[in-house]
Amino acid sequence: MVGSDPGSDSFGEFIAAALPGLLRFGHLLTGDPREAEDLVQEALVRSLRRWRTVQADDAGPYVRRAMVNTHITRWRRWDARVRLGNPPDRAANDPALARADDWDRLRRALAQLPVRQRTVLVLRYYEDLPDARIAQLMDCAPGTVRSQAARALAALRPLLAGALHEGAARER
Amino acid sequence: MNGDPGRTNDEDRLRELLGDPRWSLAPWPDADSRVRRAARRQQRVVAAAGAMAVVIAALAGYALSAALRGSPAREAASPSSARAGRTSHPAPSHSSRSRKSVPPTGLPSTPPVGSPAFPASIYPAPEPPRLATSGLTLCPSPAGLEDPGPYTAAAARTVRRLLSRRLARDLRISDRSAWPYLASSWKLGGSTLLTITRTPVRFAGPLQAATGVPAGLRRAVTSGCGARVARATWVVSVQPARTPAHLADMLFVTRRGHMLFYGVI
Repeated sequence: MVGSDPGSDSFGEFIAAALPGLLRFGHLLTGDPREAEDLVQEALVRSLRRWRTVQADDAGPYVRRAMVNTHITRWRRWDARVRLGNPPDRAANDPALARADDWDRLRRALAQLPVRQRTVLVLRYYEDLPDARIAQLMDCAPGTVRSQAARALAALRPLLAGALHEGAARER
Repeated sequence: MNGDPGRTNDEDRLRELLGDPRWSLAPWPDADSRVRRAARRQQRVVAAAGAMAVVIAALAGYALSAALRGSPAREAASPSSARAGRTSHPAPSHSSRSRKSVPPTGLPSTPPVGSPAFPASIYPAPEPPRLATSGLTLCPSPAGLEDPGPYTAAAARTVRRLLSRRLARDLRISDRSAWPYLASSWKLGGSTLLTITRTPVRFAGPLQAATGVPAGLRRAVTSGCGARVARATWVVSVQPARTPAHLADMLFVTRRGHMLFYGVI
């Protein structure tokens, strides 16, 4: 049974240490706190079932890989879901609010991207993984990773450029 | 790549925004026990589904054999006249294997809806299609339909695997709108569904999915059976490995927790 696994202590320790990072990673992947929690829980349940095998390797990458695969599969099935609205055209003048808007606008813009593009961005610019490793994680060619990243960056460029100008103006 | 300062700035800005602390979420206070509870729940669901399948198969076999038995005394007295005057056969083809000299002459009977084995709440009467060109001869009743959920995919896989083995089981796991099709299929000595259920799956998902479902299929179901049925429909598209031509789309609905096959287009 699940609860009587010999490695149960190490699983508990792993969760205690890794959960904040996993939740954050899930939030970046999904853009939604509730979905992030579901995703993390599902990946951890899958890992618990194979904990003996998972332990032998590094558990962190295994759970992250499970999260990526689950998220892509789930999104493919449910891509008819309602997405977040379009990002606003420009930020407000208040610097603090503008900073908040940068993040919020990125969150919304990421939600507009196809799931694979968003996943590539998160793995590349948040996890700082090399393209070869991302390709391995996402079961595709490194060239695909590069093209997905380029498309995603191109889609985000107007938003990022705007945020940059505002950031520079705030610093002056 | 690195020579493009604009791009480098974009990448740096993206890294900065992805590192924003607001992406962090509060960790669960009871994380370990929460995950273990979820794992146990999943195990229970899998076990219950297996047990339910066994019970359903047993009940279906029992109910159908009772329903299809007909009147043995009358049949013994005048078997030929009884067969000629009926529109339905007293037994499905699979149960008449021991009497191969008597081929089925009419449609197999359908089970008595309203009996404990076939409650009307799960097997309500089908409705005629709103458009005759929809490709469906009958539509599932919208009563009790549920939208696809997390377990729909697994349930549809199970139902697809169980189809076309025995008429009794086929009826049990199908909506009443599919019963005439199944009965006529079995009348021919075996299910024509057999080929489809053994063909590789190309797509499985809700009819309303943005990709994967042919637009024509979505239109056909929506215009033929209405928006409620369309919203509840789960599609399994099958395609032979060596044939590029698309073969068939199997349609399923969930009614009061029961996954039911209802048609092939």
